This record gives sequence, structure tokens and C-alpha cells, in this order.
Amino acid sequence: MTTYQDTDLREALRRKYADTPQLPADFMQRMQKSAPKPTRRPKYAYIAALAAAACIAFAVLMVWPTNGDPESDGSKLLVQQERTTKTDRQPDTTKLVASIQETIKHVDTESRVLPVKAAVHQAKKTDRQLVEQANTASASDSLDYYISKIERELAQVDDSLYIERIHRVMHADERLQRIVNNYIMNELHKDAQSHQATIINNVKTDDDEE
Amino acid sequence: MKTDEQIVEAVKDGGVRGQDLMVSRYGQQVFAMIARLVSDVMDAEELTQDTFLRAFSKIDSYDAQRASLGTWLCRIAYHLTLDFLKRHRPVIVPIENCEVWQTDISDEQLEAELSTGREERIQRLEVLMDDLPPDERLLLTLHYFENRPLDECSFIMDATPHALANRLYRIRRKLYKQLQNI
Repeated sequence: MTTYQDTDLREALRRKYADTPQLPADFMQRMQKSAPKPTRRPKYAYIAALAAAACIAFAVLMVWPTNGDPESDGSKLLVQQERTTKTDRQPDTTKLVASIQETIKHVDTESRVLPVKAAVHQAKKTDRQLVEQANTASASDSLDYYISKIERELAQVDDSLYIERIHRVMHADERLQRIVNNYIMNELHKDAQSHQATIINNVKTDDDEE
Repeated sequence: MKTDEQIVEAVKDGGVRGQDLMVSRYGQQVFAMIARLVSDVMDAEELTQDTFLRAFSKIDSYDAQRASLGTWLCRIAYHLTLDFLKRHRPVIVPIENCEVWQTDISDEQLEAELSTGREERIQRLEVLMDDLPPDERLLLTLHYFENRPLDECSFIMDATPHALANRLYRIRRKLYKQLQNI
């Protein structure tokens, strides 16, 4: 880069700024008085932040399995229902309960969002197939499509968003389980009614015979 | 004698000692630069104080690879001072000044005209300096008075060296034209 001599200009500047005022000696003291006190950087803050993040992750992991656990929610209701009705139930009802339990397990495993990266690898259907399926099927049939979509989204978000999304998924999962529970309760209720009707009919027949 | 890196580390650590070291080493330099742009000494002191407070709070953004600590402080001071001047005295560029931006004088010719050694020219230049806008005056003082290379000036003034070279040419040319009008 060219450096100009311009001696007149240099001399003019030298004369003009020859007597630059000096910074007062007590400048630092005055500055410290008016400035906020410096605080030592709290190194433990980083550790606390890490610990908090670990706690959140742990809490999510602890809550997660119970959300889709076959032993909880609908299944518990089922077991309870099974216990109360077991004594006066016919063998057909037990079969029905078993088949419903199978259905619950299936729905649970479908609705549960697995650890994201593993889940993404497990996704077998291509996007195109899933979209086609979603277009032609009903809302309940296209659940697979939405679950795959959720898995893909979760794989792409960062940690902070991931936790928030997971909570939303958990909330949606609860609603899904309520739908399944209602279905199970209705089935059981219908079954119990038909069973009672059979018993009543049998009793009447016996009376008639007498 | 602490190095710049040690001072920066001390300030990052949050102790008063680091701040004290930084002010005692660079306080006068920063203050002098501001005082050349701001006529009132009290304003200059206040701006110096703001510069250091800003530097302490933004010390994490200091990159030793880009500039020395002194240059970085001058950059902060420059921007704060310009903001201050804009608030207190809007810079108005007279239309007649724009006219002299046409390039019809060579660098060599300008250098010859600004290096005559004639007393009346030097005195006249001293007066003309006051009429320059603050950023132009600062460029002259950084380059001619403090002998900083244009690369360093470009960091302080947040402009490319090429743009500063053009600006310097225009300032010299403007001064030359005004000297011709005497």
C-alpha cells in the first residue's frame, strides 16, 4: 500500500495535536466507581447447565418407557377388568382379551417413538410409498406415515427442540391410548352384556323346562 | 511486563487487576484518539470510559489474530465517538465538497502540492483540518500522525484498505483544492 509523504499535512497534524490532553491520573478509580463491579466468571455455571441438561434427558428417558408400557394405562385397565370378570367369564372372553392385548401391544410399539437414530434406520418404507399410503388410506391407517414423519423430524432437530417435540409426541400418545382404551372398554362391555344375556336365557330355559 | 494476551486473560477472569492493566497501558492512547475528534475533554473522558467498559464486557469477542489489543480498543473508541458525534452534531457534507471528488489530479501531483514545506500552507492546513468531518480527520491522524498502515486503519474504521485509500485520496484532493483557493 502506498504511503504518502505529504510533509505539509504531517507537520500541520503534528502541530495541531502537539498538546494532546493527558488522561487524568484518577481515571481508573473514577471508572471503577461508576462501573458495575466485575464479577468472576462462575465456572460452576457450566457444570450446573450440563447437570440440568442431563437431568432433563434422564427424566425424559424415565418417563418415556412408562408412556408406552403395556403394564400401564389401557393394559392396567384390562387386567383389572379381567380380574373382576374372570370368575363369571366364558373361555371365549379370555380369548377376546388376549387378542385385544395383542392389539394393544401392536399399537403401543407402533406409536412409541424409538430412539431417533435407530428408528430412522428401521424405517423401511420409502417416502413415496408412505405418501401414497397416506393418500389412499384412512386416518388410522396412515398412522405409520405420521410416525415415520415424526421420527424423521426428531432426527433433524437439535437437543432443545427435541425435548419439546418429544413432550408433544407423548401428549399425542396419551390421546391415542385413550382411543384404544375406549375401544377395549366397549368391547368388554358388549361381551359382558352378551354373556349376561346368555346366562339369563339359560336360566329362563331351565325354568321353562321345570 | 504483562503481554497483551496475559492482560486479556486477566480481564476475562473478571478481576480488577486485568482491567487496571489494560487502562494503564492503553488509556492514554485511546483518550488521545478520542480527544482529537471531540473538542470537549470531559466528553473525551466519558467516551474513553465507555470504550473500556465496552471492551471489558466484549472481551470474549477479541481476536488476537485480527488485530492488536490497542487497535481493537481504537476500533471500539472510533465507533463510540462517531455515534456520539452523530448524536450531538450531525455531519453535513457541503455540496461544493462533492465536486472535488472528480479524479483529475494524479497522486504524484497531490503529493508535491502537500509537501512544499511552506509555512503559510502548513498553517492553512492546520485550520482546514477543523472543517473536515470526524471520520476524515481521524483517518488523517491515524495514518499521518500515528503512522498506522492503512490495513490497521481499515480495521479500526471498519472499511477495506482499498476504500480507505480512495477516501484518503479524496481528502488530500479536497485539501489541495482549498489550498488553491487561498
